[in-house]
Amino acid sequence: MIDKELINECRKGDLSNFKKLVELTSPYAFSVAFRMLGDEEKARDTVQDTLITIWEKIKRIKSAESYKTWLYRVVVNKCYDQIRKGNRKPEFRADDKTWEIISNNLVENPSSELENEELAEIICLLTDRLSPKQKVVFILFELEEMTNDEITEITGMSKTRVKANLHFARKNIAMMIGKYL
Amino acid sequence: MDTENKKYNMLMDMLRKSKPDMGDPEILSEKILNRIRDRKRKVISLEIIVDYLFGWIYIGWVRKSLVIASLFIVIVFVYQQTVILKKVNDLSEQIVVTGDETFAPSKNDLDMTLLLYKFSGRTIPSGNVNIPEQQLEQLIESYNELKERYEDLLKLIEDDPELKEYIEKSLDSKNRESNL
Repeated sequence: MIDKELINECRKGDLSNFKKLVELTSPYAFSVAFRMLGDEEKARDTVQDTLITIWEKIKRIKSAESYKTWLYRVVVNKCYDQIRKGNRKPEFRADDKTWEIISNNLVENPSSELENEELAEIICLLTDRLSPKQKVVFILFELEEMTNDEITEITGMSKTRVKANLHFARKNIAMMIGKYL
Repeated sequence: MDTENKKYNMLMDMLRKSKPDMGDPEILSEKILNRIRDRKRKVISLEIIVDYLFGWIYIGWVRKSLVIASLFIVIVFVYQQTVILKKVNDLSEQIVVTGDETFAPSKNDLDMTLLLYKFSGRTIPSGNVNIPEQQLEQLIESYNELKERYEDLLKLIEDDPELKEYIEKSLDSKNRESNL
């Protein structure tokens, strides 16, 4: 994902190189934050807070290789904080309209990309009954395509716990799909 | 079941492909850098103020002198507190009498007056005479003793009507003789 040299320069306190780092890595952080929080504005704020924290603590990371894991860890924790503060989007009802959007997209144009708003609605619909930890495991595994080991490092959960949360999330979502689609 | 799995996988594929659109990363990075610079500025101005106010304590001889001065102040304070405490204790044991007016106690409050004399210090100015405390204490003791005996005597007389009559008669005759 990122050039090690760039990270090393940032560790020396080079703000101009940090700007490049931000431009390279902020889309990844935004992807996770948006899928977790379901709100563009809050996701952007979370990404800003994340990268400022990164800047303040970049000298502490052991090596440039651990940067990616660390970035995701910080953004996930910031998302947890937002959710705990009650700043998540309002409770989502199982809405026929949203299922219609899903159905139409699957049937008519499965390779199409969804708009941010539609994407937020669908993810919130699917993950509404999941706990924050189950949701983060689902998003990191299914949508961000990370491995179990990476998720373990990022979330701090044991491998067993990650598998259990993933299993529960999949089962829950599959049940909803079976019922509404 | 297969249909469900198929739908699930299709949905996941669709969601994976639809990456959230952040907009222009440059705008975000500018905001982040501005916030970082603002923080730095605040930290620097605070550091400058602190350095200006307290920077001189980093000079070696200034720091040592301050330590010595503070120790000295603490010692002086402790000494003063000890002296003050001692004086307060002394004062609480005395009643200070100002002026040199003589007391003319009535018979009824002689006890209180004598007590006041006792507590008013080692010497009581009374005209040109200074009475030492020891003598005053002896006076008070003898007075109290005399008073007790007198009360006992009065009681004896009251209890014995014949004796009372006899004494009254004696006193009357003495009074008549002294008037003559």
